[in-house]
Amino acid sequence: MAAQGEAQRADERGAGIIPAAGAGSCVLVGEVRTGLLAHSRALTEPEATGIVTLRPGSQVRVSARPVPHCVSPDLTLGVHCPVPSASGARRDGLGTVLSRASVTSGRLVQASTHGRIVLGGARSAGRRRPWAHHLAHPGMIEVGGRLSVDDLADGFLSTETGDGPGSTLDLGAVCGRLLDQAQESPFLDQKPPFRARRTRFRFALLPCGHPAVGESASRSESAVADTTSGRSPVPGHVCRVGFVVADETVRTLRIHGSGLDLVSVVGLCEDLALHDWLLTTVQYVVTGSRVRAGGGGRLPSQLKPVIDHLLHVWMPGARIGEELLPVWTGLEQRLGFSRQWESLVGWIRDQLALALLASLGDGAR
Amino acid sequence: MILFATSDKGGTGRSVTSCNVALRCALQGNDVCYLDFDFGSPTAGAILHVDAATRGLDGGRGLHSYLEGSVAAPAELDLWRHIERAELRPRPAGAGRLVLLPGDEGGGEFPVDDEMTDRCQRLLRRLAEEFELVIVDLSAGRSYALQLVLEVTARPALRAVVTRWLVFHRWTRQHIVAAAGLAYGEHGIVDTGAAKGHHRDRLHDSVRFVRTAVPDPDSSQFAGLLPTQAAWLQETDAELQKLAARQRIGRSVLLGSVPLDPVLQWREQLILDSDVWTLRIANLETSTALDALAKSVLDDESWEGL
Repeated sequence: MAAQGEAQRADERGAGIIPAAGAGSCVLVGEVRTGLLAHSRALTEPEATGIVTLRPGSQVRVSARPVPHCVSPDLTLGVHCPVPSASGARRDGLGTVLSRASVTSGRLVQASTHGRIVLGGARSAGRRRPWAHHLAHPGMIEVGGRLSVDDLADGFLSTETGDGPGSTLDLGAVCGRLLDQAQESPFLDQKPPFRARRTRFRFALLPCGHPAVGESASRSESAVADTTSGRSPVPGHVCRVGFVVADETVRTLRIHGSGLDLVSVVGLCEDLALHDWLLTTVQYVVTGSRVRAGGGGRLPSQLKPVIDHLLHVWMPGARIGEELLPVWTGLEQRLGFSRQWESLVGWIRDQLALALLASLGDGAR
Repeated sequence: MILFATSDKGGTGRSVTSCNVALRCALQGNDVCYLDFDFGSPTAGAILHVDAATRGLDGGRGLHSYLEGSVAAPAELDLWRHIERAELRPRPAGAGRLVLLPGDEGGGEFPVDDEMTDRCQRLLRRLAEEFELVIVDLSAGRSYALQLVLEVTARPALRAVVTRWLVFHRWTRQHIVAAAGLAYGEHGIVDTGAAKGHHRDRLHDSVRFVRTAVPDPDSSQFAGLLPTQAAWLQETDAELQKLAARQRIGRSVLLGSVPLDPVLQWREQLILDSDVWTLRIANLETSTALDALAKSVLDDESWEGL
């Protein structure tokens, strides 16, 4: 990806509200990468805070319930490059993206990058605004020329991140780099209890296909130009959600909604990505140990680190606003995240019980 | 663990042996990735039967392009989906991940700059985070690739990661001297590494040797030899053993030894059970030696300091 003029300042993020369809469309795109901290044990809160203090003196947000979680302040990065499109149309985007890193339960590390792409801004076409303008709107990318919302979202969700020569906006590269930075921290001993692949979770928030009556009329062009302040008077709602497990490590989420708080949407995606990583990782370990279990009553050795480090981290929907809860519930109903998790945990506990029984039997003999 | 595979001379069977080791380690359930850092001739794709990357990857998505900075991340090929050998498809049950990061077709050796070093460091650290075994196949001799990895492994970000060295050499007089020179000689691995900030003794202790294409005088291969020939073979072998010991690359630092095998020599391919038992083209000794080598690679005891 082409990055120009890195604006290295931690920023109070403007809580953007997505405008309704029709009023100069706007798409939120982002990517979350999740991995296991490269450390032999779980980090304490001060250590975790140290990992995500990406700039000296920057404020880290810490929460203790229901699982310890700390988030770095947002970093702003200037971008000027074509935005992805499924049709191959080349439309330049200019603006900034926001990234942040977080540590959950002292064990998992995430980096996420997102940008609100404003399409068809007639005023921006053909005329560059000064960087000061873009810095005043952190996390907004203006795209000149015609490009449909679906074309952009399809292109973004299907791009093979990091695999092609970097000619279009590649948010995955930005957050991958941030995750590397967190993992290279001198606090970490680089001896994780087991190896786990990182996952890439890509998301796009699009306007509803059929906005509620009167809604589009109530928003005007000005809502697009400055959406960094104020909250929607109408409570937000979600129309449609599509979640795809694209391959071993890539997942995509497409949400259609209106009036949603973008900060909460990013939070939702980070939460989903975290739980998807947990499922993916534990499933991988369990599959591997099932093949070699042999039924002898011995606990497969690879299960131990999972019990030690991961089983207690599952806490879905902990930091999600009410208007977005339907997304979790919908995914739970159709894909059964928690059902699958409980089944995996149950199996691991059964193995533990069997191993215990077997060793008791040995002792009695 | 990051394992650097290197040799002083070409044609030692470094790539083919390390590919076989990677496969065996993955079949035992470890997550393994293989990096083709032989920029002059990236042939790991051919050895691993990956048609898409026989002479490196085209389209500028390989390791070379990544290090140069034209892509954000190098292509990673899941070998269980790309190996064109029926015996390995679908992915064998219980096998770990096996991933190839191929070089670029038409790449070449290149001088190293600071940004390249940064990129190399980030890549190796990330792979060490995701995989139990990361095998880096370096080009022969004192190459830019060797300089590059010695530089990045001395950096704080990688110092905590376990890194080990395998020097491959054939079982001949010249090869033994050359391998010892590459490891311990002037501008060799230990020398260059120490100059770049490595702990000299620790680096010295992390080097092991693999002998390739070793004729075994007792094997059935040589059953038809004249008594004079057999005696000469015995004598030469004993001399080479002495030479190796004098060069400080004797048994104490020997990690494995792979016999002479036409399948490795001519075809440079993976040796699977079917090659030994069904097709009967490869020798059982070769397969056993590769198994033993894979086991030693993963066994911490064989890497303990002297």
